[in-house]
Amino acid sequence: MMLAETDLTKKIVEMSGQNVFSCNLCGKCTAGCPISDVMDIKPHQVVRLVQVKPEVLLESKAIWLCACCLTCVSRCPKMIDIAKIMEAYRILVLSLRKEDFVEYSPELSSLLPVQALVAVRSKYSMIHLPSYHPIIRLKKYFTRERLPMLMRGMRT
Amino acid sequence: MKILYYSGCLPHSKTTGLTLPMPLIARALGIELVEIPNTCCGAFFTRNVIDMYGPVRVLLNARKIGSEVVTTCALCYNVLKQTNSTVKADAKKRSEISAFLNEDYSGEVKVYHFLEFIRDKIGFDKLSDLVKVNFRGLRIAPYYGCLLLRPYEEIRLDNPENPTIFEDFLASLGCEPIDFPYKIECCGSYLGAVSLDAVIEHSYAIIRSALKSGAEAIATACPLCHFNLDQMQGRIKERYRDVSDTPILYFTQLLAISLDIKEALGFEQHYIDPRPWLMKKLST
Repeated sequence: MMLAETDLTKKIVEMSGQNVFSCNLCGKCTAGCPISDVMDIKPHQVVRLVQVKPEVLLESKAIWLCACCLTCVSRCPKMIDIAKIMEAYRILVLSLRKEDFVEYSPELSSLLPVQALVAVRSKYSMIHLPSYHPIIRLKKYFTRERLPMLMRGMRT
Repeated sequence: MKILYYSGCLPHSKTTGLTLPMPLIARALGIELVEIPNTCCGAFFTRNVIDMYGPVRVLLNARKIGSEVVTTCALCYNVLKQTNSTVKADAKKRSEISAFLNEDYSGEVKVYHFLEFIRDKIGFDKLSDLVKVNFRGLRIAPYYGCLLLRPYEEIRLDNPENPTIFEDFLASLGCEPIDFPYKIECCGSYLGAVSLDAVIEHSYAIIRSALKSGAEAIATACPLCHFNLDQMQGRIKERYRDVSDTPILYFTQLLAISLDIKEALGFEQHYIDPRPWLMKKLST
């Protein structure tokens, strides 16, 4: 049987650099995954779904719950980096949605330590995506009309 | 011996015990610490070029002074090491980074974790000669977490499935290292932002597993593991009754105590204060 290789599959394979078609569905990743009990789609199912129905994962919770602990990577007999596949999906969804996945609330920042907040920023926020590059955004914001404002700000 | 030392954001963290005793430890071990500027490493490694500016800037700062940098934080260690190997392997990313930072970096600064530094440069047998306060068989479970071990291809600190560096370190201080099944399991790290349940469940599993194996305390090298196991213990106890107060210590705090350093250990910031337990164990 031929596998349906859609454009999305190609894109995810290209972004993550992982050959998802070499997976033999042994399930070692799911067995080792510490978060698999709260995931809606398990890691071995993620790899299979990229092959046959990649659009399902765009709506899944699993890509956000992956903690990037890389247990699956160190145990995979086929050397597939599932964390990279999850990351490719996260980047894709953030750039499509154009909004952050987690909102910074006062409760969150009083609860979590600073390292966690910085990690959350890198993982769930779109500000690190190439299209939201700070300099590009500044250039977009400071158009010809707004430029005098910037100069005034620099002088004071 | 002179070493470059990167403390990152740890002095501004909730529990500063990981870096607080470092100047005194260095003096006791006869090392001179040269601090490099505390610019943020990013705390979480992503393959995005923009997120790599932070760690590359740290490594560039280190390159100006020397060729090796030592850190005590598992997050910094993991991010800096993965950045090094990415810069080495990916010429396109490297050129983008050097175009932005106006400086070329090719991954030449060697990154050491302080545990690795003790193993490779000082030696655990020599460390046990320097120990002044012997723990006399204190039963401590070494908890590695993810960041010291994985991904193995980039980190190569120890065996990713059965590491022993932490056990050797604890044994050289005179502790009895307790081997327990969850020692390399993930605690949920920053998942508290999306699913507090996952963090509580996994921290509970780790603490219970360590206690069942006979440990009295858990040692860690990661600020996020420490947060999840220590600061979350109140919430864990609300849910599960079979967890008794378990002190969670940083490996630097243990090292400081064994080198007879009494002040500035940061124990007052812990949720479970380990001082009463330590007093009881060390006095008898």
